[in-house]
Amino acid sequence: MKVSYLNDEFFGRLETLALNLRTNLAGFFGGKHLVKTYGQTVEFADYREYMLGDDIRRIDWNLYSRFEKYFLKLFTDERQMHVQIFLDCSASMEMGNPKKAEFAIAVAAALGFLAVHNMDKVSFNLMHKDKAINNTGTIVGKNAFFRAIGELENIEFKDDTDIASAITNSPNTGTNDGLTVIISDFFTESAWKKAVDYLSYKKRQVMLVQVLSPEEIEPAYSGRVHLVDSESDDISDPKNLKIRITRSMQIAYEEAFKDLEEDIRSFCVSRGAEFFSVSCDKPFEKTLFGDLLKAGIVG
Amino acid sequence: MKLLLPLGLLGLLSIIVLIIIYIIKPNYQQKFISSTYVWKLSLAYRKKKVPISKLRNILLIICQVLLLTSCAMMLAGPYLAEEQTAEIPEQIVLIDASASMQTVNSDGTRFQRAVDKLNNSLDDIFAQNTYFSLIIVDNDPRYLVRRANVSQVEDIRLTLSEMMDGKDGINPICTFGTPNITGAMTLCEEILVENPYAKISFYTDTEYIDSDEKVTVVTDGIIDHEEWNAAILDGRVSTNEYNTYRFELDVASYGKSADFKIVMRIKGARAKYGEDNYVESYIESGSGNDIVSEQSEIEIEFNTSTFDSDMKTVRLPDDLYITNEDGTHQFVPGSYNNVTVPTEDGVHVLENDEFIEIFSYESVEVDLRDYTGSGNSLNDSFASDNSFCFYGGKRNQLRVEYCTSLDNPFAKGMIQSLQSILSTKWDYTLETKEGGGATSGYDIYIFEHILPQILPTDGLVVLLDPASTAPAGSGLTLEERIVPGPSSSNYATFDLESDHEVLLNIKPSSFIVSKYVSVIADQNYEVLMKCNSDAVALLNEVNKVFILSYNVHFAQSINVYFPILLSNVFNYFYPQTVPDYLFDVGETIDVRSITDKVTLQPPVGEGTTVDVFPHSLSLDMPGNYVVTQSVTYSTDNEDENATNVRIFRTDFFVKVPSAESEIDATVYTLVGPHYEIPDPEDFMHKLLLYFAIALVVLIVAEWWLQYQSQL
Repeated sequence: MKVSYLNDEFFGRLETLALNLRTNLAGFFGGKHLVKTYGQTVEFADYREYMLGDDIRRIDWNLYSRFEKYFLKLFTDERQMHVQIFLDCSASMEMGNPKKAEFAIAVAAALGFLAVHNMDKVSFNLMHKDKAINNTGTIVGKNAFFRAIGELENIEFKDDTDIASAITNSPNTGTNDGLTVIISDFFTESAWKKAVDYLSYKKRQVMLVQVLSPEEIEPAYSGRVHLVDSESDDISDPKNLKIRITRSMQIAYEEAFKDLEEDIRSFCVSRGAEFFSVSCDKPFEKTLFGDLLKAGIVG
Repeated sequence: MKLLLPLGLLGLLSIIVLIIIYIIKPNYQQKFISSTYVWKLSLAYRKKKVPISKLRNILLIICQVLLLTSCAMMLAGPYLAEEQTAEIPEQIVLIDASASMQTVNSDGTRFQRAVDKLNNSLDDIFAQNTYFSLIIVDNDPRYLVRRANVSQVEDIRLTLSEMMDGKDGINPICTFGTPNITGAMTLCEEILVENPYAKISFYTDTEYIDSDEKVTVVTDGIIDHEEWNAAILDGRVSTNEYNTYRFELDVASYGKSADFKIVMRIKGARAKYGEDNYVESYIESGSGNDIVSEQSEIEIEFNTSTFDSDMKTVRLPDDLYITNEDGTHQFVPGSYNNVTVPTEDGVHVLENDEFIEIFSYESVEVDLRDYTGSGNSLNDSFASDNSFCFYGGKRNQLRVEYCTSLDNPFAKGMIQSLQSILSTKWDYTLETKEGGGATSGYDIYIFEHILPQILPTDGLVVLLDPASTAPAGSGLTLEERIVPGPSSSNYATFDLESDHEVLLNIKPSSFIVSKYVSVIADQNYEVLMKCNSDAVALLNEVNKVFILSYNVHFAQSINVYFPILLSNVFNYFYPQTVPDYLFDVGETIDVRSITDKVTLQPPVGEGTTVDVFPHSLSLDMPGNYVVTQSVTYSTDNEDENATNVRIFRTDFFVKVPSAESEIDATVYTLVGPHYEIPDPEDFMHKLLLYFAIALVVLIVAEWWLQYQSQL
């Protein structure tokens, strides 16, 4: 699948942006993200009194001349973060016009580019059934990133996905070292909330991106309809539904959809996670430079 | 339930077709979507709001099944065979027993002819019918025979024979009242409930233009078209422009046009004739010194043009005059226009230009008499309406004694005003005495400020402001005058203590007094009103004593309730004996009395004595009724004019209802009984009605659900 978004112009516009992650993450040495811990950068952070064992070269002699006490000058630290992107590769993501999968890959690629552009590490985890497969390994640097982009365009969206199992069974989710992005439509009966709880336990910053098609937001069909689920095995699968769609049924759908989104949003707020719901028929730039920029994730 | 056309049920096969149509109906349209997850969630939302969605899904097919079932049932025609009532032949006979059925010819009365006709056709009736019922239709219709069968024929004949047995030629079964046809039809409905196929025959003398189809009116052999009836339908008394009495009579002749004369005898009259000739005549009345033995009467014979069924009103003596061109009146005596007045020398027959003016009368008897003969009774077919009487010209005398120690214009004026109030019922004679008065010989004694030695026992005693020593044996103890407050400017009002009849329309708070006498009485007295817990108005019903213990000099002078209270007391002890002087047969009146017992004398038969009042008297005979009461006075009176016993006599007249005098009456409509014959088609109609109701309800429900789903 050739993703129309992924071109030079697109990535060129991302050059000016960066990911703003939480400052209480530990991360790795050598990155660009300012954190709360004190380090060896040139950016002043604080003073403290000299203690036995401190390097006397860091004593601020100007303060000593004024107070006749030894104070050390402290500087902020900069770390490298590990951005892990979990992409729902179920069959439901293949639906929509334009396809939700295309939009989801673009989001993953954009976030991945912002990460490598800031000298962070990126991992693309493709969730199939109850597994998260990382075919591209941990990506550092733009050269490796662009090689991985080619892999993303070859993803096959099929079957269903158990988000909770896929994430909790992932061999390397990391601890307190960066951002985890879950991209899905979240129209699943799996306990995805467990995955968020697990990542929170691992002190990861979590961001959920819900990708929806216009038909899912506002169904345009009515009458006696046999709804065939894209993830169903056959026509008799219990996931399928025979229904008489009337105006009152559409109202009920709108209420259920609204409540579902509100449930996801309130859950994320309670866990300190970010949640974005995007429609794939809207311009991608509006999502990237609108919602994410407004929320402060991208700056 | 059975079916008139069972093959119609084949229409139910269409339901199978309907079901097949539902089965092969085009399937759901397939739609591939990413996930049904939200739709399943919305189902939960939808179910919460419309729990009867399952019903909605099958509602349409229910309606269609009902519709097809209705059509099939219409074809099949269901009915309940057991609801049909077997047609049992039965005859109900109604015999009119009203006054007009007393019309007589050579074969007897119409009633007798009706009974004979029924008796003769009894065998034919039982030949065609299983049951026979007989209802007598008078004021109070009732069964004489109820659902008798052929084995009871002899009993029925005996009943018919007993109906014919009469006394003094008057049949006791046939009345002088009006027929209650509605009540008779209601009785018929009792049988029609059991057997709606029963037939009704009404033996009557009234022709009906439009009779009920259920009722056969039988008049053949009952009506004789040679019969005729001259009748006085009604009478009224009034005064003319000279304030003298005028007697109006409504007269008609039914069956044929006839000439006859009206003879009027005025008894106890005061009259004037000619220029200045006065005549007074009295009928015998009273006892002792009150007896007037002279019996004389003014007799007027009047003839006018021919009478027919159009009612004419005769005004006597006014119609005896003719009006001249100059406006003067002139009496023109003719062959049958005669006026005879009693004189000291005998009688005087009025001549030309001699008028008669009647100032008062006691009674007036009127007869219709033969035109050709002199003094002969009229030979018509129904005689009971040929006579009429006017009463009420002179009322019984009531003697009232008013004794006072201090002339009181207010009390005296009030008592005199009562005289005019009671004048419609009594001739009220008032004697005013300063100081002590007689204690016997009067009907009402009024003592103001003073009290007699003993209380009179032969009349009503009214004690106003009893300020002296109480009479011996009266059961009363009188206190000193009581001033309600510490100063003379204080006053008090009365309070009601009883719901006695004499307190009707009395407002006790209007009695405002500055002084009163507290009366202590024994148990024979009922306290009517109190002032500051002291009894001030009392009534002794046994001894007829009424006490009002305040002085009008020490009370609010203008109190309209004071004369009302006295009027109530007088009316309570001296009620009007009968409410009027003219009634129709069939009416029921209350007879009241001023004594313990009265004698009632009907027009026919022996009188009866009654002692419970008010006595309900049913008036079932036309003619004169007399109610007699006697009052015994004390014998210790020194007045030589006093009498021991005085008779109170009240006469009144009962006439045949005017509608019954019309013996050739034709009535437009005869309303029959209400009944229903079960119709086998009714069940089908009801069933279809239920189907239709169910269909409408379900269609409305479907519409409502559709409307709700579109919201």
